[in-house]
Amino acid sequence: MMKFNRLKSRITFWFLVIGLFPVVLAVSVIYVQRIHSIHERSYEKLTTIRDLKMERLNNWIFEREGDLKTASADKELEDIVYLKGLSLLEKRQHPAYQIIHRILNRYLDQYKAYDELFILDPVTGAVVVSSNQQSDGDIKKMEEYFTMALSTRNLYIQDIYYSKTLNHLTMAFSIPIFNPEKEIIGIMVARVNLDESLYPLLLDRVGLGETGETLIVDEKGLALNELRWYENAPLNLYITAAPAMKAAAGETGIIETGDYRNKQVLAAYGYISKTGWGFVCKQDISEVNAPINPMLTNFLIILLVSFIVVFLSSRIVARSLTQPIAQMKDVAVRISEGDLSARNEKITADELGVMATAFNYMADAISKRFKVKDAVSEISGAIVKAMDINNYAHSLLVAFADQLNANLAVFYVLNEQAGQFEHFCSIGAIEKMLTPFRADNPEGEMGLAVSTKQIQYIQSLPYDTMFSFRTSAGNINPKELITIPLVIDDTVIALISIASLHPFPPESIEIVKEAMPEINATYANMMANERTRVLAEDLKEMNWKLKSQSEELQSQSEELHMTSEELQEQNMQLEIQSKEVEEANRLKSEFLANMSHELRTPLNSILTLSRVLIRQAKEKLDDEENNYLEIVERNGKQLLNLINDILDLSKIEAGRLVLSIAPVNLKNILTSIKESLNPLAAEKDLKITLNAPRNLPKIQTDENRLIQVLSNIIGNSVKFTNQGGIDIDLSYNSREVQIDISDTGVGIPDEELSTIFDEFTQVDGSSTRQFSGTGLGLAIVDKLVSALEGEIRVTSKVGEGTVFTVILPIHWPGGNLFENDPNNSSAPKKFKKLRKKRSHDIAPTILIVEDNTVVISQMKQILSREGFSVAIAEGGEQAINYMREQVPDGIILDLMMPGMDGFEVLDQMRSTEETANIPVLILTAKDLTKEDLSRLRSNNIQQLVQKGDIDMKGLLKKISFMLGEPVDNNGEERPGILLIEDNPEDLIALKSLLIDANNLRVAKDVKSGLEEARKSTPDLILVDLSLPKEEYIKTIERIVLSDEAQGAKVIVITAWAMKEDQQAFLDTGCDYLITKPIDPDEFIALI
Amino acid sequence: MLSDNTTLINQILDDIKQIHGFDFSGYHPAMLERRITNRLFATGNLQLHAYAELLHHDPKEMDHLLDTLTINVSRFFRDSFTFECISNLVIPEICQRKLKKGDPTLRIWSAGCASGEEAYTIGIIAKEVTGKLDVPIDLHIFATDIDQNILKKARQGVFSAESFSETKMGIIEKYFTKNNDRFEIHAEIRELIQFSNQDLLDEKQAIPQESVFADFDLVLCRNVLIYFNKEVQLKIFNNLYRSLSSDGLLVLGEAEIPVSSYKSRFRSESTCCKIYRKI
Repeated sequence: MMKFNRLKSRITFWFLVIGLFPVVLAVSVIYVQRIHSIHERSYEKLTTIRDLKMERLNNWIFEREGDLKTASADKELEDIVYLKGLSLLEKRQHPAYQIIHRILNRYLDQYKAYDELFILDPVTGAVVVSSNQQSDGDIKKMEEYFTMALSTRNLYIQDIYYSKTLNHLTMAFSIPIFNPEKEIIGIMVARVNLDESLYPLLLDRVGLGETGETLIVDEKGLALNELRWYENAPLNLYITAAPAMKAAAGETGIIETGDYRNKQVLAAYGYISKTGWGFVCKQDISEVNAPINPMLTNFLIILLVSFIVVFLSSRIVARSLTQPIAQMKDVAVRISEGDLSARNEKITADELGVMATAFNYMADAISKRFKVKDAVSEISGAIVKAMDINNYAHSLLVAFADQLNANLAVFYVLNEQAGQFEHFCSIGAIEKMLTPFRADNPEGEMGLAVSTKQIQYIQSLPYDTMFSFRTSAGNINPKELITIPLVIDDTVIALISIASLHPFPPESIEIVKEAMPEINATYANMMANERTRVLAEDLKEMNWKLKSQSEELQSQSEELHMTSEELQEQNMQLEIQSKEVEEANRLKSEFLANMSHELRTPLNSILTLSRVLIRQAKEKLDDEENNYLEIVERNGKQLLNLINDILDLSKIEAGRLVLSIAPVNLKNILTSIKESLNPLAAEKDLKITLNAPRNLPKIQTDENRLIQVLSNIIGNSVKFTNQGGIDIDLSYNSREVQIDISDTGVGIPDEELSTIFDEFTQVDGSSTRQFSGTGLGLAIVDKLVSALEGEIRVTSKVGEGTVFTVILPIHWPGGNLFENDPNNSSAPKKFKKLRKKRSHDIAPTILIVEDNTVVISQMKQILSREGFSVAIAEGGEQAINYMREQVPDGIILDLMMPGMDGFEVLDQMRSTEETANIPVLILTAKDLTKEDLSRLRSNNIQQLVQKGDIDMKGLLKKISFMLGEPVDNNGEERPGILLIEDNPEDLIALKSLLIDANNLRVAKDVKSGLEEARKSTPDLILVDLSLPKEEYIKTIERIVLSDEAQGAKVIVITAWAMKEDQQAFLDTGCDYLITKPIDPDEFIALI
Repeated sequence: MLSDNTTLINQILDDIKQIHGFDFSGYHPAMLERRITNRLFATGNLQLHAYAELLHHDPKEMDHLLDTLTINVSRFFRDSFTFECISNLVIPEICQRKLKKGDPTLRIWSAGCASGEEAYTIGIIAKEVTGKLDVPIDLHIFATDIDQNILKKARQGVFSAESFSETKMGIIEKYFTKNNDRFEIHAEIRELIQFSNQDLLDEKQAIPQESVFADFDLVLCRNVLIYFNKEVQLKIFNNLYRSLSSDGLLVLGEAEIPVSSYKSRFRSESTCCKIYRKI
């Protein structure tokens, strides 16, 4: 495709192409058609001429033949025989001769075509008679026309040849003359005058133009007639050109080829059979095609004219189309080079004109934008440089005045305190006229700017404007005014008024609008900077003040420091003293503990053995000896009670009484105490009555201590009453419960009532004998009741009875119940004993907290079968919710659960009063870490079971243990017991107690004990070793953790009866702890 | 030549018996030879004595051989005779005994369940058998394996047709849904089985955690012992013994028997299947 750099060339080119194409096409088609028809015509013409000429030649030959045949048939010629043998003269004299001569001449006259007619003698070949008498007697014996005619006895045509006698070209026809006997009597020969007959025929060139000719050739191509372009051709020129050769060979046709001159000719050719001639009729191609050339010229002229016309018209059209566009292009280029004034000047009326106009508008707009931009950037540049507000305002006004051709500019600033706009800076204005105006609703030209927050443009100012411009010719009022509000946070905080004596340039408003955002921003920035600067100055001042204050403080603190050092020194002394006291206390309790241990150990033997003796040797001994034994036992027990009481008392006094506070059902406690004392009362025929109101609330207290208190008081009442009964009355108000225990006993004298709670006092020294007792009981009771935040009172009349009144708070006044009670895990031990009775009539409720449904279904099944009532919580939250509603008797708790896990459940329930003491069995698949274990321990866990590491029996046993129920051994074989005991005396005592156990094995130390355990896999391992405390604890730990002890319960017997010691033993992981001295019945029950 | 081979094979079987305690002497000799020959080619050995030599040095190859010998392809109702015994004798007896004790539960454990065929088989049997009783019996069926991946497969419960070569058509129709060439077990059976991860050698956790406590009535541990030497077998047996309730039954693989120290604590229940009762 062609490429044009200019639109005009392109349009011209395409106009030409479109305009000329049809013309060229039409001319070409016509031209080709015409040439074709010209050719066709000339072929036709030449063929026609050829056919005509050939017919005439044939006719000519035919005529000649006819002539000769006619002549030879003349009867008179037969007379020729008479002339035979005569001499020339004789012949001429002979009438026959004359007749024949006359006939011959007549023929000659008749047919101009002949030169001469003569008759030859067939024998001699001599001319007998001739039309030309001169040739008479010539011998023609050797001539072809004689021999051929004689031999063929027919007409013979001798071809054109050169006759020496005639000295020119001739052609001869000969025919024999027959007598009636058909003998040849002569040969008649006619010599043809070619110039007269044949040649004119051939030289007639009508229709062959300037270059055409006809020619004949013999069979060898030898030319036989005169040619147009070759001198003396006949019998001299052999023509080898194609038409001649083809004709000579007998063919007929027409051909375009070179002729004997090697010139291109159109040649028609044919064959004349009589004579064997080839006939050619030809004309030069140049002449044949002559009509084509003028036609070509005509066509070329037509084309040229069309081209010129189309070219010129396309130039005109292209020019008219492209001129406006080119103009626009030039303008655009100029604008792009920075000449913003360039515009289209020639505007046509058509669409291009509209476009040019629009283009001009666009250029106007662009140049305006540039002006605005320049002006805005000038303004921005001016204000950006400003360092402070004064500089800023001034620069801004100058820039505005400059850019808007203004004569006068004023900057007002909002004074927030005064609520008015005040003149801040101005150019060209008369300052005294610039009074402040109200900010909330200013009058006049400022009003609209402030209220709409829009730029205001006033074009015809009134004469009484506050702006006035002083000139040397006096004051002039400006004509136009632009008011610009500076808006920050939707508040107009400054105003700028720009006035001009002349109309503002048209783009002024736009410049202002465009510059506004930046002005606002920079102004806001400036204000913020200003505020920061002021704040910084304030801060500096305050800093300075603070510094001086802090110096003052420093001196004060130095004083204080000195005082505190003094105090610290005093503190340290106090601490040392308190440590000394603590140490003394510790030594005291250690002494007590040691002493009780030392006392209990021998006492254990005494008591156990005396009991065994009483049981086993009763029959063997007499009554008195039995009595001795009972006295031994009774006194032993008394001694033990005394030791226990002393220990208790000392503990309470030392403030080391550890309370475990839980909701307690008072009625239940009293019922059980009553039941336990009933046998004793029945001995004396006493009746114990318990009167309790319905709805007696549970009280928060230490159950065991309360039992101790009440057992003691009620026991005393039974002890000191010989007839009548004991009434226990319960009453309560919103805060307290009151227990009145009244008996009908001996009573207490008034003077002794005050000392009744002192140590080692018993009413009536003599009664000590009558009523056994250590005299410590009531002292302990008194101390315990006050430890339980309660109160005890006594009223009595000698002989009538005594009333003990115990008042206890319903709500424990302390804060967190467990913080000061980390060792309460031994509490459930006694707790269990109370539960024992209940479990037979009411099915205990066990709450299973577990997320795995499979585990739930299995647990539910076995628990229900065991007669428990089962509640399910499928997660921690559910469990907590359940426990808000009701308190289960025990919980089986999974540790790993989605959402709230077991640890959290434990934490929550242990810190809620109602649930704090619910026994818990942990049933988990978790590999417990040390942290987990200590967390569980601190949360008072009764049992811990690893899932998949227990059988059903074991699990049920653990659940029973958790609930504090006696292990049900009904129908099962007695458990195998391993006793590890290093003291021979104790061994005897324990063995005697375990005499019923059929599966008892004994070991004297730990090593042999473990060996024995491996062999016998006992169910129970009893450990009683006389080792120092720490060593003992470590040994127990070893046993508990040993492989051999797995699957067996470990019961530890120890004389370390102090609560802390007990806890230390339980922490080893042993299952149960028995403190010496052993109560044989309790011991056996436990086993 | 033939007798040479037989001697060598017997020698290999003796080795297995000595090292692992498994007795393959009861297996069909032609089958044993075929399978050992398979391993022979797999290891590139052409001579049996060379292979026997390799077995001595390469414990892994021993495992491979055991795999091959025991056909480690689980199928439903594999050892169909054993399962016939379980469904016709074992489970009815357990149910009767437990119902008498007032405990309408059946606790079953498939230890080493692999892709679950055995577990589902026992599930189907338990369902079938207990369904015929008048009293509803709670089924607690646990299946464990040490391989977490194979457990995933087991939980899906989708099997190919090869797993069913010993299964009755009626069972397939009743408990499986065919999906293309795969058979999916019905949810009623799938939900019956608790699959979990457990190491049979873990002494602290002798039984599956989900089952909480032992007391299994029926424990299947088939073709597991075979992979371990006698020491490890003893450990596994400790756990198996603990897991069983008194009178509980243990089902072992065809080539397996209780380890020697436990022999006296089990009584064989059948002369033709490896079913043992805890005494």
